[in-house]
Amino acid sequence: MQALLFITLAIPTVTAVLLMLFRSSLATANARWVAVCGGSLALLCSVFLLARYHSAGAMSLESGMKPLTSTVSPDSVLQPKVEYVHTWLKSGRMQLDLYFGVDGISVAMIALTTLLTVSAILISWESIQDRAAEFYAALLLLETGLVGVFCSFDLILFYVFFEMTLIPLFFLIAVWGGKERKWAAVKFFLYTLAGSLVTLSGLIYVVLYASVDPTGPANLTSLPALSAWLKAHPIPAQLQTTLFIAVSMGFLIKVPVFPFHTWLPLAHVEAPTAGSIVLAGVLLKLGSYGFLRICLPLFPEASVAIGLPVIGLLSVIGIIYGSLCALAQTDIKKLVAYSSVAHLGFCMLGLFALNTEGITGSVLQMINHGLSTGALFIIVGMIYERYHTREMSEMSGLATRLPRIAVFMVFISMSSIGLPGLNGFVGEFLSLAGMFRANPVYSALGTTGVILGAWYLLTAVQKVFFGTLVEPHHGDHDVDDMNPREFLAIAPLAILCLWIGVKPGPLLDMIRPDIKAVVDHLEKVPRNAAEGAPSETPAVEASAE
Amino acid sequence: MSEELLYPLLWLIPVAPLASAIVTALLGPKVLKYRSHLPCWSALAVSFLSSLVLLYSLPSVDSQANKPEIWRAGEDATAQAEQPAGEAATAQPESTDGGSAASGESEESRLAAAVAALKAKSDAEPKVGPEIVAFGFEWLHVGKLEVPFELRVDSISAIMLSMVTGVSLLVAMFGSGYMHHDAGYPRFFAAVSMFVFSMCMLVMANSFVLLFVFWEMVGLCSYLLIGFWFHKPSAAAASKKAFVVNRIGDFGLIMAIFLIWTSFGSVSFSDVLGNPATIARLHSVAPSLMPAICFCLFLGAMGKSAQFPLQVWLPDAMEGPTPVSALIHAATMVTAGIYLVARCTPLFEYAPLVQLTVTGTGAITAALAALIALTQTDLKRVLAYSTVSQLGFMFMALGCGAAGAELVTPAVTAGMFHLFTHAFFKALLFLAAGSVMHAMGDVIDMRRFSGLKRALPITHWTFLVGAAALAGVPLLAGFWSKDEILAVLIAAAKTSQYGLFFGIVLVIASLTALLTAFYTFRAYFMTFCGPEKFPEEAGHHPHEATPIMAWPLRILAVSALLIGLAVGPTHLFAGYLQRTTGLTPVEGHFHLDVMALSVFIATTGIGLAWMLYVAMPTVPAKIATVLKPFYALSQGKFFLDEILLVLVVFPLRAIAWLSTLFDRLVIDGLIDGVARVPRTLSDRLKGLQGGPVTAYAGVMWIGMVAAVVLAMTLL
Repeated sequence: MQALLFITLAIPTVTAVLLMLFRSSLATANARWVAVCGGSLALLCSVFLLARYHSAGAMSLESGMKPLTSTVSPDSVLQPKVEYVHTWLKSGRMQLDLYFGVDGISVAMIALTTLLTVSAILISWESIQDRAAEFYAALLLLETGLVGVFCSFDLILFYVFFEMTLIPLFFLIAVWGGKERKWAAVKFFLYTLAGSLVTLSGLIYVVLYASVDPTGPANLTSLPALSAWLKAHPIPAQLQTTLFIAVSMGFLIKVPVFPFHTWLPLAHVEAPTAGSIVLAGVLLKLGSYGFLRICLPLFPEASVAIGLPVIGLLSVIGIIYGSLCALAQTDIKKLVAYSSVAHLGFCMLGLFALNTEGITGSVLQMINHGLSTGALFIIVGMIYERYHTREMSEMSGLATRLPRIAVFMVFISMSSIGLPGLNGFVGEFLSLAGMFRANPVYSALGTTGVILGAWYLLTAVQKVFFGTLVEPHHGDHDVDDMNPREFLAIAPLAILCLWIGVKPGPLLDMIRPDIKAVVDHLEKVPRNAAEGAPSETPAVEASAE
Repeated sequence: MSEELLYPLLWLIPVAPLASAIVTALLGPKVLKYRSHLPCWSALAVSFLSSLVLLYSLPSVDSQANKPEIWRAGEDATAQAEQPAGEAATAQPESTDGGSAASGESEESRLAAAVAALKAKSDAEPKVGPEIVAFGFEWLHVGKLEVPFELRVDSISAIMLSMVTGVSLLVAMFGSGYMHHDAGYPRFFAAVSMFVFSMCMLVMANSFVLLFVFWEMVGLCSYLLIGFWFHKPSAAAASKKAFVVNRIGDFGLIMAIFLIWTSFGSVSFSDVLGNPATIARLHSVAPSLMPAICFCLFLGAMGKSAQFPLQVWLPDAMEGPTPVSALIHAATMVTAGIYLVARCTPLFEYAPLVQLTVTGTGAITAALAALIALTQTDLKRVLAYSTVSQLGFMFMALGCGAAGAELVTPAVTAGMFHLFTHAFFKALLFLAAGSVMHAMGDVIDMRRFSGLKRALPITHWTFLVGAAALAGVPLLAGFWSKDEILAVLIAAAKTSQYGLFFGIVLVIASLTALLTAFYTFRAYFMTFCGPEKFPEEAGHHPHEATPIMAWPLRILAVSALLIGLAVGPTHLFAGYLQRTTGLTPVEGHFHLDVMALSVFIATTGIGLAWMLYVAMPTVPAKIATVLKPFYALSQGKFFLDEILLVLVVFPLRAIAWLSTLFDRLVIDGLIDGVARVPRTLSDRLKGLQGGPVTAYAGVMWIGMVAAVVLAMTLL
């Protein structure tokens, strides 16, 4: 299984290198075929990885077979399995490892990344004619970076991949973007970079803090080792709060949590469709993933003291504010971009509920938002490719002309506004339920986002697809409905939306142990606030007996 | 039928329409085309027959025997699935003696026992009606939240199921004639099948979360069917409005679920509603908990059942095809709110203030909608407002439990009975209106046609039956159920605690009943009596309903004629319903005084309508000019839509617009401002390094002086 992981990581890299090497001799038509082959191979490997991981988990439960085990100490909050550790630098107490591994959460995120990359390649098929080889190379490098983040369990490795994702996306926006692409790319790059530098300084402090203690872990940058050590030797509360805020900075901007979100609509509007898909679908999740992997395990007290009240509140504001902003947009892509702010608010709300329901909901929401918002950007891209406009006032009744796209739009919108039976509901409901236990007021306020969400998205559906047919001016060519290639790009996402909604069980089983470890860790933190935990009142137990 | 055979039957009810929906959606456009009704018909027939069998065999299910197993199943769902039916059978003898003893008791002692049980509710053993629980699969199990995909049928859901599947089957038959040659024919039947699946699941769900899932799913089907003719801007707007307004109610329902989950530790009906002791204990610990839960539940019900002020979506929903209005927006989906409140009776008993709210809201809604219906000229709108008004009646009844514990069961029975009869005659009225629309070339404005009696004989007599049933003409369906409601209101008004409140409500209810009879027959007379007049869209010869449309009309008309008589005075309905867990069987009475009152109301209303619209057809216009402001108010629907627009929609849109402005100018401005700091600084500092040697020398001199001064002060 290690081999599968490496192949998943290597294929996009190798394909990207090949594309760059032969960029001058490759025609557009060939470049995209190379890209789609590479992307599909990576997807295939990640699906195999997922299947193997899942079946290994299931088998160990049923037949007592040897389960996937982790070499890290059982004290660690992170229990990566399928590990690969290679020390490549050792100097005094400092030891740098290539520490790759996956657990249930990362395996799912990797599969999401590879899937969305293939969709992104397919949807760029016709629209990217200029420097196609470079375009696909950048896209695949982005994929490498993202997969890398999800499978690295060493702080330095994590940070390297985390920052590596910026460069290909910078070029994707700056070269193949819209009118304001340069400004958008620079803003995106500098803003997120500034944030992650603060994160880096926080992480360095944590490593130094561990290194001065003689009992400190042998490998200072290994995330599992560090978390196990910090569990036994917690950082003093004051310092923990400072470090939590510092490390959070980069993640807050990446998610983005209100009020750090303004780079996002700009970047989305200017990015090419493929860039938007990967940006919204996966890149934003690096923020929430970072919180889950670094902040919660390393700074549990601060997560309870600061994370729940402050980030929880910011998430609530993000949900309502993002929805309201989405409501006022006339550019459909900007609308979807602001809806991302709202949806990630749900994700963060669940995460900082700091209980099983909330964190599970949050992880699901990461995946769900990737699927449904990715698909929404695909649809927006399809419309833009046909009419070269995204202004909702210029079009209406497109369902008459583009019935298949309309069906997908309604379906994906329903997934996005959390219709039960589709994926969005499970994530949102669990996040809100978790938060209700932690802070009912936040949860109630967040739930209003469910109303607003239906309002802005169904308004968009109504304006663009329903009513009398008004088409924006487009040359003499006929406008065709969804073609098989586009269908191939969006259908897997739609199927997954349905599948996760109807049968979330397998996915939940896969991520359950990893979340349990985090929650067990967090629950040891004393909480002064009176918790509305589901009562294990004697009444209920008595009646059940 | 033995219990083992009931399980597959239970699954068949929702699965058949689901299969039909999938088949029609996949094969409809390419393969089935104008045969798309076939899967739907067969699936609904299967569901209907299964529901009838279930309805018949449910009372013999011995739930006392398998009840403990089911409760354990709530703890560990898989155990329930593994539990063989044989085990339940072996457990049977122990409890049958209890069951037979109860049935052998005389009427009086049973009633006395019931009252005693009610009084000692907090420490009573849970009373369990017959029910079947079937475990499907583990849907959601995270942390302390456990939601199995589990079906549960007890008396109340068995009644709902038969009603839903029966009416849907008839509507589907009618629909194939009505939608004949519509381009979206397969889409229509796929959505209708999907709706029936969701609605069946809604009433069979065994937990609040699963109920919510299908609560939303019926909302989706409603959205898709209201917007069926999506190229019509009005239909597109109406579908969105329906969905969003419903979401406001859903907010309440979600909050209720969270409250229930955090306080009871479970969301399953068996755990929450089947344990009076738990409810009582929780209530004594936190007295505001039950009112909060019930209020949130009622908010959900208000959305789905179109109660004031969330009623605005239902009249607009008439943009959908008429069979859809009959099925979803009259007979079934909109009654889900009533079902929810009735189902949660054990919780509402601890929240008398919320019960009063339920009754009050129902009364306001009923009166308001009836007043609006008086002046509408669109036949379907009249019927839509009458639906809103009748739903208000049902809520009025449901809240009467506030007046005393002995009224809880009669109140729920009255509400549910009206739901049941209303489904038949309102579906009938809508389908008949659809038949009119079909004949008139889609014209539905009553001013543009009249005297259709001769042209559309079948439509005429079936509509007349429906109208008479709605107006409360004696012996017809609506008569019996409206009587029950008035009787329970009178009983509530006689109690000391909230007597005045219920007295006022009773007056409102009687006046509304009068208005109902009036506007229903106004519509009837305007449409079917008077000089024969057709709009030009109808062509020369308006065609009567085809057989496939006429037969459902006939069947529904016969039901509207007889169903009340069959199950009302015979006490069949009440006796069946009251075996639901949480209700207490009570004796049925004939309320001759109430009957006299309602006969008077109905005849007055109908007579008034006859006088104004048949005998003196010029008078209404004169009345309209004399009472101009009131007329305008009614015709303008009390301007509720406009008020909502001004009070809610515009402010929110303004806030939304301000938010984007704020986003661009303030937040983004700040970020850009911060980003500009380094450049501004560098611009300033740049000037210092321009190369003027004198300036450098000056700075150097200042520095040296400063250093010397510093050194001297330190030394």
